[in-house]
Amino acid sequence: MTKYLLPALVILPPVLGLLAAFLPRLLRWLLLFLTALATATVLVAVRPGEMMPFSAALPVDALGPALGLHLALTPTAWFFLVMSSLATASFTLFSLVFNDERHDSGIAPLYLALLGFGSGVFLAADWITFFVCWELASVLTLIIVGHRRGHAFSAGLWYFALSALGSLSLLAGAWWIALHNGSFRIDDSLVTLTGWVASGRAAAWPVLGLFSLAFLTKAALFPFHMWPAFAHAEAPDDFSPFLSGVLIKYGIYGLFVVWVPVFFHTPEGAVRTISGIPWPLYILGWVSALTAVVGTLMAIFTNDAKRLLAWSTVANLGYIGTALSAHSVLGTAAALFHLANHMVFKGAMFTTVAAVKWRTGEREMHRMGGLALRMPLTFMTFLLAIIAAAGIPPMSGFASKWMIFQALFEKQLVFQATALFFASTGAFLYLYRALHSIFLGQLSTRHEHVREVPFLMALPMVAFMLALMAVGFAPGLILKPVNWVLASHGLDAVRSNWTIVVGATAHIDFATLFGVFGFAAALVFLFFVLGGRRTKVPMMDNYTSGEDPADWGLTPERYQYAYAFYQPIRVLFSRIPLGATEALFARVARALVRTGSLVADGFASAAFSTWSILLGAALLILFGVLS
Amino acid sequence: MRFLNMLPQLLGVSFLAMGLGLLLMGLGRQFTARLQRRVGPPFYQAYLDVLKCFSKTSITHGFVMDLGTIMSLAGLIATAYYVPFVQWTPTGSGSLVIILYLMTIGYLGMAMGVSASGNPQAPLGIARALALMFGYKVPLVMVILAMIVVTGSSDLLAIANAQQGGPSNWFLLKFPIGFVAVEIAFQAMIGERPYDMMIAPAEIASGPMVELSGKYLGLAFLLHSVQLYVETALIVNLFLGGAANPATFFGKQVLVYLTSMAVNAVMARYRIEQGIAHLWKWAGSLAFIQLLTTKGGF
Repeated sequence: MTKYLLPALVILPPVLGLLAAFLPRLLRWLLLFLTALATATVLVAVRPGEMMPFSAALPVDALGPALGLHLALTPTAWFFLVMSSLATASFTLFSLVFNDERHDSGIAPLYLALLGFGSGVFLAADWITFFVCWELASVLTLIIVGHRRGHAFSAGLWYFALSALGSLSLLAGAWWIALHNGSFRIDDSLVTLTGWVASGRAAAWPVLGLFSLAFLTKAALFPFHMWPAFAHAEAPDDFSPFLSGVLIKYGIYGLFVVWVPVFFHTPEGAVRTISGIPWPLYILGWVSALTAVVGTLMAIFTNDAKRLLAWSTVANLGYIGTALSAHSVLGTAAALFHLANHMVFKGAMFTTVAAVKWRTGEREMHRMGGLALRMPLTFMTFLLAIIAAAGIPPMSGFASKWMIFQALFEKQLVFQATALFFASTGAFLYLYRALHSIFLGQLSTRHEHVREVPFLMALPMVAFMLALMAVGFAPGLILKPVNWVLASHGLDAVRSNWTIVVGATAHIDFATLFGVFGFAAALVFLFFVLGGRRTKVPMMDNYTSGEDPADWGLTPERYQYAYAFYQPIRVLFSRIPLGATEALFARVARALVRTGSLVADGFASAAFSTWSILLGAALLILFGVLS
Repeated sequence: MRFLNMLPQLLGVSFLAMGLGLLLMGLGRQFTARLQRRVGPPFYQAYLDVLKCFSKTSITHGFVMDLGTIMSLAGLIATAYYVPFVQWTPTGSGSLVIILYLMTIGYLGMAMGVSASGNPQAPLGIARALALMFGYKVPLVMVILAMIVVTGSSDLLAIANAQQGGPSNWFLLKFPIGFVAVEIAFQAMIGERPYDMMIAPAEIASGPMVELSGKYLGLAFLLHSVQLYVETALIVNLFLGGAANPATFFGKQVLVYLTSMAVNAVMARYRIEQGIAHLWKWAGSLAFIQLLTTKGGF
């Protein structure tokens, strides 16, 4: 039975997706949610060692190495899968109510198929399976983002063009190694690659570069940092949490799988080091730090709520990349930890923004305001999520940011640490701007009758809040699994128990931190209660010297200070061409679209492309299983 | 159990921070008045102000305003639990990363509480304050990083302990360029001229404070007092070697604060973008030089 569990995780969701195409709307989304929930349940229940690897080869040997479907549940794959499937289950529960008659995006069948291929990326034991799943996931994402909407399709093309570039180079890299050792298996090729690096063979670097290109583009690291702003922002609102929370992590997974064995298992002195770090990692560290800075600045200047969150995702991947490149146990653990936290808080933020748009139809932040009074639970979710995202204690984000800084302190990478502090302070700026513009300030008369979200939509939000607080109180919840992953790569564990984490230059008891903040809050609350009586007054009854703002022609909307919120900072950065890479890639994209308009026309028909891709995938997998 | 034993100390530090902070505020006002050849209010004026504020009735604009105001003071008081006072903290830790990030929850609470009031002057002031924070945080952090490189610890207790044994061991002498950078940043941190554009009296109607009345204003007063306590104590611990007894420690805090009040008394206000540019140009480059010379490379 357990023998077929792994292929079932990959194959069953696309098959159910085909089935779902014939079901009525509600059942489709229910099927999606149940599949996500089942995947999460199965993965939480099993341990990596208990699962048999699965292998089915194709009956062709023209290419030399055995082609086919090879799956294995390594501890790394298990960690990524558990985290992403738990997050996905919450996102799809949200989608279940979100996609009512008025908002149905019709993507449920494709989403289901994507769940399967997504699991395939993590479970793949050979590069061909990896490539097929990776590529199918990319194509499905393109269709979901561009589905039914013309302008969104070009956003999807951004994503697809970069993804295609990356996956082709990945295939080339795998092929290069297979020509030498005759195997497409990931573990074999990594052993070979590590050997090449250790023996100083020149071919190691182009191969590593080919692999990394795929992952760097997917993880949106500089200079590929601009696609999330298009794709994540234009995707269906309830799909953006998945896109930003889960899908973008595939790139980090790839980077982790390839770079960690290669650089941790080469002997000292085999690779030139800068500041005690192998030079590719040192470069990755700076690239990531730059990504964090650029993503933050772009987020500060944007007025579109979803774009702001997308840029924030880019910045957070910068943190993760910097931590990973610190080349230490602490840094590697911090990267995994922050990745898991980012899934939750970015998922929570995108869900709340989707909920607000669901109720108000607005995405431009300056058109909202004062919604905290109408949607208190949504507001609280967003508040806790931004506290975590800004790395403020006592929420989960602080624990992982603290670990990232500890990793940088340990290696004395002080200038990268400065860049991250800069980005982190900037994060507070744009997150507060979003909080203020959407939920605080004047309530517009257009939104006078907005109501809180229904119960089933509130449920995932409450789950996010609990997760943010629980991990902030006890980081061990995530660090224990992280330590299993580290052990499977032969690394030492991070010294920690449920609530205490030992870093390089200090250690922190997060429960105490939680406790003292609670004590201070209780004390201040006592002051608050002991103070004089307070009267609640309506919003417009404020500091206007007794005059009615309406007399001056001021409506609540005009009374909301939100548009061009950080104009002074914009003035300071007016000479720096932050959009330069964007313009360059736009030119490349235009050229691509011109030459490839034939393909684009084919994909533009959603029905045609859906069926052809699902059918193609089904045939391929069926072929693999039958042989 | 360990946490329960900590409670009396936490309570003590809370009142110590508020009490000393209010005293600093009173001394500062008296000092400025003397510079301007006025009589000025008595040094205990700040205590009276707070008591009066708490005794008055007040208006609120909903639960977010209440929550934000409580969160702001709680955040700053919690920060005070991690800032060493005479080489001691009630939590046993002086983690600088905690201090830097916990202070932020105070600002977030304040920002949230006042912008929930709906008055556009309040978020205008907050936007300025946050933009300014972008200016001073980076220089401050760079100097702190230089100290982490030298002492190998990101714990403020360890950094203060490394300076024991007389003024010749103070980091003021070891990091003179960094000290100047942090002093400039400090002026912006406490929002005194030339960096008082977030409050900007007579320009944006006191900005964040515009809608606060009664106990809300009282809590904002306390917030400012704890902020003064925390930030002066930060400088005393970073550069002036902490202290062996409470009187010396507080004396150093007064010295740091009055220096900045003296600058405040003679400067005019920057525009906000000038202010940030100034901080990055001067404090930033000095801190950068300090960090580069300490580290000896990238």
